[in-house]
Amino acid sequence: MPAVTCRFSDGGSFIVEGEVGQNFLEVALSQGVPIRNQCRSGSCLTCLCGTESGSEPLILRRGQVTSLLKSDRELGKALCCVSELMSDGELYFDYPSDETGPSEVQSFIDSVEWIASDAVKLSVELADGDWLDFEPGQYVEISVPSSEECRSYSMCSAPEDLPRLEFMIRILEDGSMSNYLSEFAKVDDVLKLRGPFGKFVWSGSRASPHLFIAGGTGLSPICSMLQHIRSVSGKKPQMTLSLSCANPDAMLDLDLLKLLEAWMPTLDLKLSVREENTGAFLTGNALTPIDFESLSPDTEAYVCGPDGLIKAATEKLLAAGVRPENIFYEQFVATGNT
Amino acid sequence: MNAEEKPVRRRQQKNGDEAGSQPARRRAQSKTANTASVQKEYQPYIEAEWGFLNHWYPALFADELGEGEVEGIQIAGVQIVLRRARGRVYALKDQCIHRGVRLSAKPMCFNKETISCWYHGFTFNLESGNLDTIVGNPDDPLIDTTSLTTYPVKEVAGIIFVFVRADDYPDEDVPPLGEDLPFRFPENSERFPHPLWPAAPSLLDDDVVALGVHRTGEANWRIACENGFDNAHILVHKDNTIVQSNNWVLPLGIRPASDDCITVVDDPDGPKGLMQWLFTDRWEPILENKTLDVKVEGINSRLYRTSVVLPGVLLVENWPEEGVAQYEWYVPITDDTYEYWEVLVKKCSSEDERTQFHYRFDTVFLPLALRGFNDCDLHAREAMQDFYADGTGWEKEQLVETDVSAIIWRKVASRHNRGIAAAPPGAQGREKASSIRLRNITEGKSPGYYVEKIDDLNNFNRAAVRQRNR
Repeated sequence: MPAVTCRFSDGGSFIVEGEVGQNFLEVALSQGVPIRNQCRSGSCLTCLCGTESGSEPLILRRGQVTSLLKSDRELGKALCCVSELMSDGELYFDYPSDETGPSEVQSFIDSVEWIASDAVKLSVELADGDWLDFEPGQYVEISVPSSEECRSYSMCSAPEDLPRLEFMIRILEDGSMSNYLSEFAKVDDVLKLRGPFGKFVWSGSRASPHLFIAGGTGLSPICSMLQHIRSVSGKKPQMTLSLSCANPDAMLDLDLLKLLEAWMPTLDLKLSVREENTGAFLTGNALTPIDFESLSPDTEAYVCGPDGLIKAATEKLLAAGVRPENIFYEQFVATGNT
Repeated sequence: MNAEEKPVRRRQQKNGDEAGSQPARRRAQSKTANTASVQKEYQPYIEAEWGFLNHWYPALFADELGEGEVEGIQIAGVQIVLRRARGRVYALKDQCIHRGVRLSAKPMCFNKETISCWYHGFTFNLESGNLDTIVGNPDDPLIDTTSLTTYPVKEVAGIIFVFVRADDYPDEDVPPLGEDLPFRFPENSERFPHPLWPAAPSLLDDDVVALGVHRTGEANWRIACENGFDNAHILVHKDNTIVQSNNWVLPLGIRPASDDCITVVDDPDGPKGLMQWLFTDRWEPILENKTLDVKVEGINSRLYRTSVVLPGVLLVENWPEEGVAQYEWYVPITDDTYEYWEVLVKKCSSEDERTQFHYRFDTVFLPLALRGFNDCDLHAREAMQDFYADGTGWEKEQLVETDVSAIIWRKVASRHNRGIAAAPPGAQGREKASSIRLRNITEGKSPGYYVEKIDDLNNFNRAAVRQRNR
């Protein structure tokens, strides 16, 4: 049984074993090798690969016509979809095997805007030629300019807004990114981003009710999910967003929240402050306004905020009968000047 | 090359995209009704240049598509081919998955279950859109692995409705047609009493007859739609033949007299829109303008009432005569053309009534109402188009209190639309100066709704090509 090693541009390699004469693409895909492909008929060239000169692990199916140039074939290029497994050897693919892995990109600052007494919204645009796909809820590392440090922040914008990315960022006293953003950042500064990271992502299910619980800038990834859900096709889930901030001045981006409420008929907002309430908001933390008793057991819950909030929320959600696999959470840690 | 060595460059800015380059300035204080915060609330509506997706739209009158016939149209930038087979109408994306050929340009059907592309013979199942076979390549591995988007179809009262959806809009989420049709009576008679006229007929009622026309207007669909229920525009209709011949005397205008002059309707599972309480004390007729020394006496106008629901469907109750209601759609074709549908609906329970309605339609309503009266609306919409065409009009317009109807409509539409159509790549009219468009224009054919069919494949003499004339 011949064994063929598939090598990708990121160093990833996979060994494919099969019988002589089997369709190579089918065998490789069935063994989990991430070969890009489309037409499966030898015409689109998506599944192109290279071979070492002299070796011939693949052979073109008899009588098959392809759009691969003769000159390329002589250079050892082959099309996986119309080739049969022949003998041991190596194949080369000029793209990475882990397409969802983090990438490093550069971006330009479009704006830094105060959205609460202790938080800003940072808007950047990816540099020409750079791209970074992400799922709503994920985060990136942002390098602090002229320093070795970086900080992790969740996008509050949706993937649909690419190449623009937005972040809700809490400004800490004497944090290095905080100092940069509040004192030095200006339009057209270049910021280096690395990502995406994180498994706190929207499930994609639209049938079950959604409960979003956010403490402070834990709102950021949840905003990304809400804005993404707004743009997906089909009926939207029933959604409740419970957000709690320290006091009325610290209430995050009320303009955006009110617009989302106006644009999404299935979204219900519960906004609370813990102190100094003047009557415009509910009083308490993000759990106070939630009627856990009446939660449907198929509720999906997304919790983002400080550790204490996550622990308390998870406990109450489980007690209310929400299934553990439907509770998604991400802890928010404030990184000071360490 | 790694990221460090790469020169970092700004993406090219699109026109009008002033990201970051403008110094922040406070908006000037103004007395207009569309303040900055109100404008923000209907931002999604402003983005809907190409219309709303995932809604039911009228596509053709039933008698425009006979058995076996094929027609191509475009709605909200979505190219759609319609075919009637064994009496049933099917709608598919009119863009072959292979190379984008419009199937409707030269209809080719080998049986009643499929439609084939006339270029390479890719053959699609009418029901599922599946690529069933390729005429000259029946063993290709692509067969059965791909499909054309299909669009649900409903035929009522002689109108073919199509649910124009995004490619990924799920079948199970397609709402009933009634959710995209105007409020029904007498079901809503208690909520919206109409003591001055009988319950307006609905397209979904038994025994209704719908007679009308549709034609292409050169304006954005939103401008057309807002014209339909604009209470301040009766001035434009003063000189219409139907008004003068009936000795109707219209007020100069109608202004909102109370906060509840409009009711927003957003019942779950029902149409979403607004009802205007016309001819009640919630709207005040204006009879005099002292500045201009203009006065109207002896008001004697037809009593009517307008309401509008998503995706832009107007109902004029009790118009143009008792027992008849006028329905209008402003179906977006491109961002600067729309198909204007004017349909009169009447309940006719006998053959005599039907004959009479047809006669009255041909001799009175069509020439005097749908043409004469509404033609001046077409003039008005066109006169606004340039102001809104580049998008800045939505910011620059200075709305007043009588525009409350448009503002509420924009908010309702922003909230309840099922999807905003993006400027669609590959759609007719996306490129305003494409060579084909320019040639058609020089040949005297303006951009329109239908796909022009190839009459004679042996003859590319354009002058010989029959010009559509409907």
